[in-house]
Amino acid sequence: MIGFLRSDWRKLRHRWMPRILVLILLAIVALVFLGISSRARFRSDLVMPDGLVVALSLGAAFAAFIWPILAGSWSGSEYGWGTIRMALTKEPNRIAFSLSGLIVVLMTVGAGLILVLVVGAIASSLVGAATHAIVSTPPAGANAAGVVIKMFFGAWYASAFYVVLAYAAGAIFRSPAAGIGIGIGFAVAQSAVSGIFGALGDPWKSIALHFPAAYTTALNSRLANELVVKGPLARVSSDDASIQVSIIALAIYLALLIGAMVAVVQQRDVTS
Amino acid sequence: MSAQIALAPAPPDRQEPTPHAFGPYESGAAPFKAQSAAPIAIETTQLTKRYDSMVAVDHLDLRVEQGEIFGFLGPNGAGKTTTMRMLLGLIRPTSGSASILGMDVATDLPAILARTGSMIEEPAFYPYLSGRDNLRAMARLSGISENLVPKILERVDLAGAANKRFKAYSMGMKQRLALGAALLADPEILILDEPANGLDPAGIVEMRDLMKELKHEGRTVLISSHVLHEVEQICDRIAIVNGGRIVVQGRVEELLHHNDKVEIRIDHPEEAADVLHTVPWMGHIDRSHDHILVSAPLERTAEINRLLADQGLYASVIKPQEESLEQYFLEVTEGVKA
Repeated sequence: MIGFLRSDWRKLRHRWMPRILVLILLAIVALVFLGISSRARFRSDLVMPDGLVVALSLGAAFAAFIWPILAGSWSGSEYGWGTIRMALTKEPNRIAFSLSGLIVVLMTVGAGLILVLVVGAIASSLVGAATHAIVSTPPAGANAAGVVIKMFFGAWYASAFYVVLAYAAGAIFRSPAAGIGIGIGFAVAQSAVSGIFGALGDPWKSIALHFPAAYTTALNSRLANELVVKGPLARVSSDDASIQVSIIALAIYLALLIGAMVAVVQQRDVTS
Repeated sequence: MSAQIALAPAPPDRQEPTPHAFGPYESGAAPFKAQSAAPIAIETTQLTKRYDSMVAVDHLDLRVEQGEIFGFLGPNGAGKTTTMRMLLGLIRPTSGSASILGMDVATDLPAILARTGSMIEEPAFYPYLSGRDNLRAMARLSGISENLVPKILERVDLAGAANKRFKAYSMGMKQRLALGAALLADPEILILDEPANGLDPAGIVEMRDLMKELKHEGRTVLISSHVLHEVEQICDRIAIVNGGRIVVQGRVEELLHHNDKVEIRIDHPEEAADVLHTVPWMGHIDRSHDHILVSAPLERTAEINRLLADQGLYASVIKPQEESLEQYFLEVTEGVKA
């Protein structure tokens, strides 16, 4: 496993795609932050430390469209380039091969979110300076630093679902295009189907509440709500699952996806 | 042609490596020594791979002795690459077994791969990494020091292009890099699938010399190639597969001289043929405008010469018919098709 991780780390360091995707994510977060701050009623949610939580929320929201590109490409390209056979004839542990790439992509997501925090801090400071409210007052009993840390891991965890989905699809279908397409396509389809099910009412609406997106949204909304409680950005629906339920539900989805991928990679002949 | 030729194990050639463009291997670690106690390097027993109704490899029994260069030949789709993939654990056999250095591929794969270098089909590396970084990534996978990479790059004559990205390499450079990756862990066994593919004539000659050098270092090489002229020059033994089955297996020189045919160049081939027709032990006689080809025991060549001379017919050349591996390959594989 260590050998695979070291090898994947070298690949990551020399690949431009992760850097470009992080830059796109940061640009999106900054632009959306700028867009939101143009409306006076939202500004109170954007100053420090609330602005950090909003930035992480944005980072998690756009994860479904950014990280599948890296994840699907990372796993699928091993088959497209045929490098899987080169790797497995050096070290035949197929589970380690599958998981090391996933770990490195998830580390990249973490690094991206740290940079989102930095962008959020800068943007919050600018909004604060513009509105002469440098720091917002946290709600009574709220530990701002603790909430930001929890929000960071929440955003990372929510992003992990889309990473794992695209990564597993790339590996299972042996194609970067399939990984990226299924990763992003699932996010889009999920939104559309959720909307339709919501409009149809029960029992369809309650089915949509168990979609992965429902849990990623609930997790981030509830975590953000611990700090951002005043403004209109602090919306939590009564239908949203609790933090604990969201974590467990996403863990089940992640386990199913990783299990399917490992089982397929472990059993299948390498003909690429 | 389906009989297999039984052979005695060939003693490994233990000459010192000769200086070469690729340079001798200097890993810092002691080069491996061939073990005389376990002369079989690679062995398959009834190895079979089926894909639904298609049989890619059909009850293959292969034996490669330690220290030899073994040519694994066959037309496209004969099952060579599938067999090599099974030896490396990339494909699981439907039935049968394979062992390398006495270890079962099904159960001891990590230990086998630690002592085996391979190159399967076209070179596969990360296109955005340089040749050097690709080998470093491979070194990390193999758990060996990255300090070996510059020496390997020199050995495969890629030191000057080490910082170039893999996607910018020519086919020949890619092949060299793949060979470098195969040599990275100082392997005892090399399994090389079409290593000369895409090489120019000079590259083919260098590859041939490198193969000989690897043999001199005591390594075992299982090589598949369509460049039969090269195979003929470097291989100790060969196996020809067709339709997933071994059609013939044996020493190159024995296979090429297996047919006891004598070629006679003479001014009057018709008269010579008439003379030889009267000899009871003479087999089939083929006649052309300047020579005849007779099936006869090679040890009676002098007797043939005397018979003709007694009739005033003087041969300019009498020699065993030399068949090229290419001719032999076509004869064997087309015979099977027919």
